[in-house]
Amino acid sequence: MPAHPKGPARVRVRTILLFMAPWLLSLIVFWYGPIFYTVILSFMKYRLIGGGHFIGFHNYKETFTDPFFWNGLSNTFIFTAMFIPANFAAGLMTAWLLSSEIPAKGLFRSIIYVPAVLPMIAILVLGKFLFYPNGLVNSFLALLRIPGPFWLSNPHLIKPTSVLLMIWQCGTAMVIYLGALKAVPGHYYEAAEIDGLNRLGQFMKITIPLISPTIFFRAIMDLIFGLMIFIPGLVLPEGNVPGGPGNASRYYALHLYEKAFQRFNLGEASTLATILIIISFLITFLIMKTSERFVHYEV
Amino acid sequence: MRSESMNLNTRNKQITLLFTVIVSLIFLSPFIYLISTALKSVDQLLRQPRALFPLPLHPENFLTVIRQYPIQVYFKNTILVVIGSIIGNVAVSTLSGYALSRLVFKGREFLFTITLATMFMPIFLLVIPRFMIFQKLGVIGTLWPLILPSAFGSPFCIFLIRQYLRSIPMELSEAAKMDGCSELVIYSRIIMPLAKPVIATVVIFTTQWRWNDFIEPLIYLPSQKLYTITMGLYTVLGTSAEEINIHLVMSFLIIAILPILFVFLVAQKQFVEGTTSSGLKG
Repeated sequence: MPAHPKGPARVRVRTILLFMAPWLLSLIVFWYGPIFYTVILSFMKYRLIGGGHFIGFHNYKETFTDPFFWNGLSNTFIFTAMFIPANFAAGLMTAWLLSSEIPAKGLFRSIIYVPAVLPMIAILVLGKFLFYPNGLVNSFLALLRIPGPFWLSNPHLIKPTSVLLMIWQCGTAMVIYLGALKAVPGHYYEAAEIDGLNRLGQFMKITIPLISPTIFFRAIMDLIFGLMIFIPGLVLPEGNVPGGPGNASRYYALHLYEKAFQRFNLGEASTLATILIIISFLITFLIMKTSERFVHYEV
Repeated sequence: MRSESMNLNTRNKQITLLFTVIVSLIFLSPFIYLISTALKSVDQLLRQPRALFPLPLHPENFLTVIRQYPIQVYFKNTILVVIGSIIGNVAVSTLSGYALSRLVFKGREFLFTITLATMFMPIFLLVIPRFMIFQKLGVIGTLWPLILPSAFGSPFCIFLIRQYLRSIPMELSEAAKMDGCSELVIYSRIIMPLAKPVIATVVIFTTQWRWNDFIEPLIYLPSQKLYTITMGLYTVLGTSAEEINIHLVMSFLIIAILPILFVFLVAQKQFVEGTTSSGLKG
């Protein structure tokens, strides 16, 4: 080796490049490059046709004085604030049911998991008809003699309806929680039983702390999903008015999409994207900082 | 004492089972409604909106949908995207997954970290610059914008492959190296044949992502002759008087999800194991 100090190393680098080059290229061209380019574009006046030039903070001033920006931000925050706990509850509850000793577990698991592997657009199209004034949901409510509301044309109900449809896809969370629940060593429960802890006590004092890293991971994934929410605002409103009714489902990302690909204002759309990147990063960072207090990394 | 606790246990089990059945029914009922509606005629929809499967059934709705909408075109486009993505993704993700697990070099952990970090980058924040790149490349108006990014590797698949390859003993590679094999030969002749299970998982996940993708087709595809199946479904919703043609929309929906449903039934194990491993710390 010392005889050829450079020889083997050079071969190494070539081998590594041989294996890594396509992915390195992708990292630059499709992932990190676009993020940096978005930030640069946010300081430019840029139209799809005709190119662009730098205009300083003009786009940011425009954005912050645009009522649609604040409307979209609040819609997205409200959706996310409902979605994260709802998906957590649905995912963990179904996982908990399926982790107990019941017959036909595999069948139940498949039934609950199936919606999660289907396209979101299919879930939303089917869901739209479920929540139509005379759809399945209102028919069921009629059986109970409850007058069904107008889910898709009431500005107060469109976001909760979207959340309900999105947690129909809680199967992904369920499968992940199921894995986490199985990883909890059985002797913890045995010890707790000797100490006289009931099932609810065991769940709160043993299960939740031990799976807290998974809960934390899911919360961040759901946060990112929630902040990017977009398709329900396009598909669900009655009469196919994107963002309706009354702008109640004009989410931030839908506003961004319209700015970029319907009004072709790529500069301002990039400003919106940059602000969303900063918001996502800040919230994730905040959660990570505070998580040290309640997430237990042991095992 | 003992029989008392056993009774309690059986009762707990029964309550759990009851809850599971109720939850499953809630999850399942929209699909029953879906099939029921797809098999009704306009007349039955108006007169018997709450009947589950009124006779006669109307399976010819599916034929009407196939005749009325260019479903073959949508399927062809989707399959092209799926196949192109699979070929590229398997090649690129196994190559880099191999390097990140079985080649020792400086900066490997850093590369792995920045690879994992992209899992937290939502596609939606990348589409504007990507659109501009595709415009520069002159591929807007083709299916390439849907194929290229996924054919150049996926962070999640690289993660899965790395975890899997780490469990294969290094002695195997070392013995082959003694015999004078290059890394490329070790990769292709020894390690890849052993990695078949994880490659199957990668193929299945790529199929699901590409089949289900809606945001990227919505942004990159300018004309109906390029539409994938999810865009087709969206178009049906937007253009037909959906409330009147609800049976046709539902038939279309069934046709659109049937292939992915089939993949799920065949490969449920891979779906569950792949998803589970994404939730555990590597």
